[in-house]
Amino acid sequence: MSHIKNLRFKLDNFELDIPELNIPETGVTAIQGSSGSGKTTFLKTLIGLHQPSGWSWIFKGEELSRLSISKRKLGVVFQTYDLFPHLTAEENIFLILKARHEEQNHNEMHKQLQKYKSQLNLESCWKTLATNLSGGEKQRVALLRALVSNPRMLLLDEPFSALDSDLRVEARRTVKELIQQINIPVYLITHDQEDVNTLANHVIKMKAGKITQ
Amino acid sequence: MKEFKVSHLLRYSLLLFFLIPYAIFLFYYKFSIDIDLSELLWALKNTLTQSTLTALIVTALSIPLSQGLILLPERLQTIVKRLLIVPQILPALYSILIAFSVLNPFPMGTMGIVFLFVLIDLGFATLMTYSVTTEKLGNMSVIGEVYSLGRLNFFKKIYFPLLKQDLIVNFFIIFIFCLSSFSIPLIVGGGRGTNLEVLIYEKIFVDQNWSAAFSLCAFQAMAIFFLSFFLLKNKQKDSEPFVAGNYLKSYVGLGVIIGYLGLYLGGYFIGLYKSFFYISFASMYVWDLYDAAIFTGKALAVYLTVNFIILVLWLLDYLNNKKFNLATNLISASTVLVGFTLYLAFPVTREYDLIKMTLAMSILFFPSLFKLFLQKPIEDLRQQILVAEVYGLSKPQIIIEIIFRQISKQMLLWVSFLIVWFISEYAVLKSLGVQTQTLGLVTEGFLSSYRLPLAYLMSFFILIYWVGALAVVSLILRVAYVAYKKLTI
Repeated sequence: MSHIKNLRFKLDNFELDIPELNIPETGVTAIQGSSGSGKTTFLKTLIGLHQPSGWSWIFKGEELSRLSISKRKLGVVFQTYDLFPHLTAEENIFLILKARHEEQNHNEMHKQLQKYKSQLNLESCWKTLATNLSGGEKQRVALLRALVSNPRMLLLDEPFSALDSDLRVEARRTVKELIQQINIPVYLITHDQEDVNTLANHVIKMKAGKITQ
Repeated sequence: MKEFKVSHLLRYSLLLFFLIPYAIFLFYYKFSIDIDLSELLWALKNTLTQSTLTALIVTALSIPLSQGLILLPERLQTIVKRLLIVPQILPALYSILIAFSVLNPFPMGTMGIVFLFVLIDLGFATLMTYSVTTEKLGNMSVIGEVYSLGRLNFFKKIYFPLLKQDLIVNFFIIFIFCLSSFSIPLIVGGGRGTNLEVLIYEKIFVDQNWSAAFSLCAFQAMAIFFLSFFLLKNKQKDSEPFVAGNYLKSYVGLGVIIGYLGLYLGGYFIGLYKSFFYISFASMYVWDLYDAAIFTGKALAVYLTVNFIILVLWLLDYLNNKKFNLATNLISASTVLVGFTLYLAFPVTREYDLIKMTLAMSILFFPSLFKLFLQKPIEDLRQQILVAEVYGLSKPQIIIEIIFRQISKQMLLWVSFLIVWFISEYAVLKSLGVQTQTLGLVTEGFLSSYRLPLAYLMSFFILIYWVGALAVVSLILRVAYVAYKKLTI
């Protein structure tokens, strides 16, 4: 279990108040709540953007709350995907690949990359500038970037909300197939019940900054 | 802990760099009130009159002019917006030349200063008013029309109540720019329009009365700090989608914009054209020009290198702290204070001219040019920077691959204005006591002695020099980037 303790954080008029929370270290855990429930604030705290004092987050015996953003080694897919628009899909991936992997592991990672790239159907847009990609392509490139970054866990922040409803069904299926191949936990931030039904093994509910279930 | 200390050291070192003149000032300043009160009050009266009149005129005129701007279709609007900012960001030299050509004989003194300030600041004020109008008024003009409010009523009940605070802030921005202006009153003030900055300059270099200069500097610095406090709060604006209703459009405003731009740009080109008939007179100064151009080039190379280093350190500081250094608010430091303190700190010999110029102009120009061209584009990359950090990109990689590559156009503009402000500068150099001739000082010499055609020719030469320098810098940056990519593959 990943163990969070004493997470209390005030931001403008909102307060995140999580005295204790255990999150499974395998499978997909959905963190579900409506708009304003605190999911994004919680996510930003896990990433390291917010730095409340006195809290603790232990994952596989390691204290992550004290680590800097880059040292937490997370894979994140933001709602807005945030690809680097001036780079092609390929360049977006390789930039992260070089940053996150030791040189001796590059060959192995390249093999994994080819496999995921094929599964995510990215061959046709591989050399396209990120700014010219469609919404679905951006989502898949952002996911691939997270997968090849050698993360200790994946955080998916409303990963399907920017897609049309017909694309969402296909995207959920693709993500589910990929997640089943990786051996790291996935935290899925969502308000969408369909996301939870399709992907989640465990559900944590949030309301007004607190865990309700 | 070590990283924590290094980031704090960087942050405070950068801030201290920009506060060097104030530190030197406090080091030398021995508290004694040695001011001729009547002289101070007279200079203060001139300063306040010039600043207040200018701020009032441009703020008032900016309202119909912004409505003229709103009338234009989007593409044309973009072009006109760029032209409107030209008088503000071009060196004062060009505005002075245009003013001298347009009004002949030119009314030296307070009226002349106000005319020049208005000429320089009107476009900028128009853009500020346009910006707050489009951010705050959303659909309201259309709704006012739907409910037959009438234009006058709309302005009385909607426009002014909603924009009053912003217009007051705009007024004070212009006021502070005028308050700390030195280059305009120096040339155009004559004896009657002396403001505080010029009075300080005269105390140092004419009367050799340093204690009086110190007292005046202290007084002025406090006034600028106090007023700048209004501008330090960078409020986040929640902008509504803007729809341009008819109450916010004005053909009269558009006509004035056309007249203003025609006067400014047309005035310069007509003056330049006339000056070509005097080229033979310029040939007497060829060797002085050659020496000035060589020295200016050397000084420019050092200055650009230093500013590039400051920019990289500034960005490292931003990445460490997720916000820009406090020094970004030092956009209107007193020219004479900066010049005078460095004049004191270094020997007044040619050997130190280069260091003094580099330090003074970096301290004076970096914060304002950064704020003008680079701050917002970098802030817009905030989310991408976060993603890059999450994925473990190093700070140098983030700076080069994420920031520089995406703001290359804005950086080119930034470098471009670093160059032109530097090579045409004269007021700062005079307050530094620079001994070597530069292109700016040669031009100022012609201006002060009313050899207007030669001053025009020099201004044109500066433009050519500017383009040449920019081409060289662009080439160097391209080569450096290619070398960096080859090294990192």
